[in-house]
Amino acid sequence: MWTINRYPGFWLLPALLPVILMTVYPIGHALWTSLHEVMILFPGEPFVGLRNYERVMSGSYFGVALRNSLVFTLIAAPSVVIIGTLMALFLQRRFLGSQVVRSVVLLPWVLPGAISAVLWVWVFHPSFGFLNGLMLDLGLISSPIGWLTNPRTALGAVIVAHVWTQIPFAVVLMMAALSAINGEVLEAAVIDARSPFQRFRYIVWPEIKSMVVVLLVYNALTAFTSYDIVYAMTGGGPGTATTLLSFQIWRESFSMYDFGAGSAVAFIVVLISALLIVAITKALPSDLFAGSE
Amino acid sequence: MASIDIENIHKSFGKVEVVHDVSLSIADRELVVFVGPSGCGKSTLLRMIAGLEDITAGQLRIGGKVMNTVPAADRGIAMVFQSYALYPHMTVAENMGFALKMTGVGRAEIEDKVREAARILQLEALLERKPGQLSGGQRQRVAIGRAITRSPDVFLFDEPLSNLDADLRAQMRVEIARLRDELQTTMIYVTHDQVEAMTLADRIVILNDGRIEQEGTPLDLYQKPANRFVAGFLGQPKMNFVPVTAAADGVRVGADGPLLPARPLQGIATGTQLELGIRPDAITLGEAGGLPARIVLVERLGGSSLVHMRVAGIETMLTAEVAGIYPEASNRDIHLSIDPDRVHVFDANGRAI
Repeated sequence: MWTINRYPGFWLLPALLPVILMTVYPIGHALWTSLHEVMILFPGEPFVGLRNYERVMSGSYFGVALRNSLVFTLIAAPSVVIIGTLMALFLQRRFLGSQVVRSVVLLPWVLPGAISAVLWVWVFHPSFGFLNGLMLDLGLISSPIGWLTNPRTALGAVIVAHVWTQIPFAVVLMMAALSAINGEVLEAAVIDARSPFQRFRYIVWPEIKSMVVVLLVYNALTAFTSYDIVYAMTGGGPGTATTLLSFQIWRESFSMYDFGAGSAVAFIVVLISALLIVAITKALPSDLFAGSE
Repeated sequence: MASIDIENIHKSFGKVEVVHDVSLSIADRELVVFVGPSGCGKSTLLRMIAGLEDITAGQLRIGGKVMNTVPAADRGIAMVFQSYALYPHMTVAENMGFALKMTGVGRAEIEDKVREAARILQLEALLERKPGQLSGGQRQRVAIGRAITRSPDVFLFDEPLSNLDADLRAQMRVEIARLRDELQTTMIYVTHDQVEAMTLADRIVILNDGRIEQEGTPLDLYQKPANRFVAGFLGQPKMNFVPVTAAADGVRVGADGPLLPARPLQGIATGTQLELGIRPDAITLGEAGGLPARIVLVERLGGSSLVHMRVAGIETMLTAEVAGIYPEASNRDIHLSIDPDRVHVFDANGRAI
């Protein structure tokens, strides 16, 4: 008979097929590629073991890109979550024009990465930029700063732009998490605890912790694999100041046409991402993955 | 001492005023029930006392101190909500001890108070459970326990039994009455259920459309309603209302309809439009005498029966409550008589005469 017990795999096919086609197969193929010498200019795809990995990790490019990517991720992801949470807490309140502000906050979401990049290039532009203009007017600096051309400020500048593009999503998810809290529970807390900080710490935080973990994981991955906005703003420069690991994947694969090496970097990114996820979920224990009691 | 004085309180949301000039004094250790239909302002009034809503105008004093701008946490109140409002991630014990923990009370003292409240409410076995693992009745007991541990001057209940099924509601009602005797604290209890109001209250405040219609002891309100609204609101089954005209020898339905008995009406001109209010248990049914009527439907409840009848000249059906199981069937003609001493008379504005 056609029972679920006898043919479990068959009944799972509608869900499994897309996963196999779109996730398992590409990753498997990338793993296979990273272990072979796959170059457009040379026919044949001989097995080379871990030699691709050795090669991409031995150059100085990898060290710089890894360091930049980690710094980028460790600053960007928490910033997005913290700012997003604060904005969501603020936007929960009803005030004159709150509907308008809620819509405006979502604006960065609808802009393509390249457009956001152009926008932020103009904010940071040394001669015509908004930021320099403002700081000069306020007397904070005496001469313009080349935010994107100075190796010391370039990474910070692209992080700001990246965070700006990611905040709307965090705000939307966080507002959803906040609105899921029973209103009478919050009122009971108002009667039980005088300080708003205590209420956040003991009542609101436990309720939104799962969402914070989700957002942190999501943003860590987004930041660690970020490409478009940084490439459009600085191209990885000045020098290698904003070069990220994602750039090396592109460089090995499409500039040097060494797909084996490109896949090796991609696989390293996957491994580090997995480590980041584990670290975040360990650091912020929540019942997110434990299932309900 | 925790008396509550409400003086000329108003509440507006934007341009809409929902509580109009309400004044009320509640004595120490009194249990006052606010009752009224949905949207009458009873919950809003309670929430203003709790500090969950701003007071638009007027003054609120608890224990003689003006509380208008005092934060809810500092008013010496504890509130039990309709949805229980337990903190979902805390155990029963943590829920009950939370307010004390927030005010810096030591762990040992919190444990004592929680254990004492758990004993009163028979929650000892559930202290380590989370709210999600409790039944509705258990959750409501925890919510009450959470209020008890604070040792408040005033307990506020906002329709605490509305989410429970009928059985549990009756059981919790008894429990709250018992608790009230044990705690001897001022309590305000909001409900739309008149049985809760009648059984629990020292004094009932009936609200309608943001105003107090009448206040008094349950039996006072039942026996001497000040107006048509109160008369219709209290009492189950509802009071019968019959539009009548004052006549020289009593009141008549319509211009020359059947004559209905009523108390002697002094100072009422013949021809004045009035309304009679007759409680279902003030009607007796018989084979002769009184008004002829035809039975439309009989509802037999076991202990008593409700007999719905039509009387010639009276547009609405009349309902009589008869003890025991009423044997007669529908469409039978009978005669009803009304106890004149138990008939309420209301003028055109609904005021009792």
